[in-house]
Amino acid sequence: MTVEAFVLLNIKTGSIKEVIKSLKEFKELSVVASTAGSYDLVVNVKVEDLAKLHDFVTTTLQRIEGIVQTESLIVAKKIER
Amino acid sequence: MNYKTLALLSGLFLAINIVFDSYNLQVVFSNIYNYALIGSWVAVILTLVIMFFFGKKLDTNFKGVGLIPKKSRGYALVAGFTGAAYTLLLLYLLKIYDPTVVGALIPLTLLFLIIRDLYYTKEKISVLEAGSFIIVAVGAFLISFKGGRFDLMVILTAGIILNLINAVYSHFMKLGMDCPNTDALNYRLFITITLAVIFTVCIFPQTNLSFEVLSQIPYSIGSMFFAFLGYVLYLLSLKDGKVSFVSALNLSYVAFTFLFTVVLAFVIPKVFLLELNSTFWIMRGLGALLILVGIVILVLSVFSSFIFIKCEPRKVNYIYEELKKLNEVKKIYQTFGKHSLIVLLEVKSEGRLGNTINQKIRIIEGIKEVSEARIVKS
Repeated sequence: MTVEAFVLLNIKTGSIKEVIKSLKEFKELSVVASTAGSYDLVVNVKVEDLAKLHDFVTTTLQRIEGIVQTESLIVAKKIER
Repeated sequence: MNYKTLALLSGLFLAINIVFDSYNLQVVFSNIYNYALIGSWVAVILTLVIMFFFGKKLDTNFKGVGLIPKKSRGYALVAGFTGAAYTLLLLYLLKIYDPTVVGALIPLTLLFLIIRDLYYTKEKISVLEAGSFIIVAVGAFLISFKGGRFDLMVILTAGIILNLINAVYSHFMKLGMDCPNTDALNYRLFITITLAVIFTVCIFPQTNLSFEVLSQIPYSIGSMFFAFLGYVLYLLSLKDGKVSFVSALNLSYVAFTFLFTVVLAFVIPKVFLLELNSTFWIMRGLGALLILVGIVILVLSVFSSFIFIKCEPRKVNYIYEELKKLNEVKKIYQTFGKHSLIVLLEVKSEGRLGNTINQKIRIIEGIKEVSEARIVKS
């Protein structure tokens, strides 16, 4: 079963372009949105299970140069129109 | 394959569908009621095949073929009736006009949907919208040029009546989709079956079905196959791309329809009759281009924003249902975390974004905190 989550990212000043470029390489990410709010980037992650989400956030996202903080929000239910 | 390629391919297949329909109506089916009736049942079968093979991939909420809730069935019935009227009129127009005109005028539905949204959101029309409406209107006028004069009848039928019916159809599609426990694919299946039943009951006396029709069925399946392929690719491209950008790329079908018709006018001139004078081509080409530019501006002028909402305990489901009622809300995610809900808003101007958040979202009972993350790039 697919697990979907939003990961809110804070990025080191001046690194946003490089981080977006790195993020676009991952097939797990369906939306990479640069925002003008409390977070610098919002990414939408879709993976097979919770263990893979944990691995993706801790071993992949957090190792990208420029990402200083992550916060994950797991999707329980969604509606699209 | 990335979402841009998928969206462009969906435009290509939709164009093939329009030109294929036109060919079928000119050459294969002398009776449009035969074509409508056969096509409607072919659509039911293709919908079932798509649901069976791609259902879970297209819609994560899909759990198998089943009956939709009573309330959405009511909306689906109305959508079925308007869908039937739209299909018949479209086929009739494709029989009497060439696909470059009909194909270019179909996107005008968006103008009626914007007027509907303005009515519901009680917003005033923006300068950009008004400008785009004028560009599209001039384009529609130019594209109607035929035989040395402007054909106002094609603007009235293909430009206004056809798109008004399509807008009503889209409106009821949306109302039904917003009902609780309604999944998109079963809802679409119900509408497709309703439409086929309406055709069977209402237009059967007008048909002249015989064994000869058996040899015509593959043509109907062929055309419908491209329509469904276009639709499926459009839905798949929406999974990764922004709705506005994908819709703009999908509009490439106007250009593809134009291209295919021109090529076919040289290959089989008896079927695709087009005038061979420069004024005709300039008027028609410029008309299609203006319509495309106006619609693409409207489609791309969308501001998107994620809204993070903290809710009072036990109020989450109530807020979720209230948010579903807002036209501007495109996606709602219920999450485990410090924000109970994440909402994707899409509005047509920056000012409307603030109005939606302050006057429609913040006032919902049970919302404790709202923070906004405007999408700058996605």
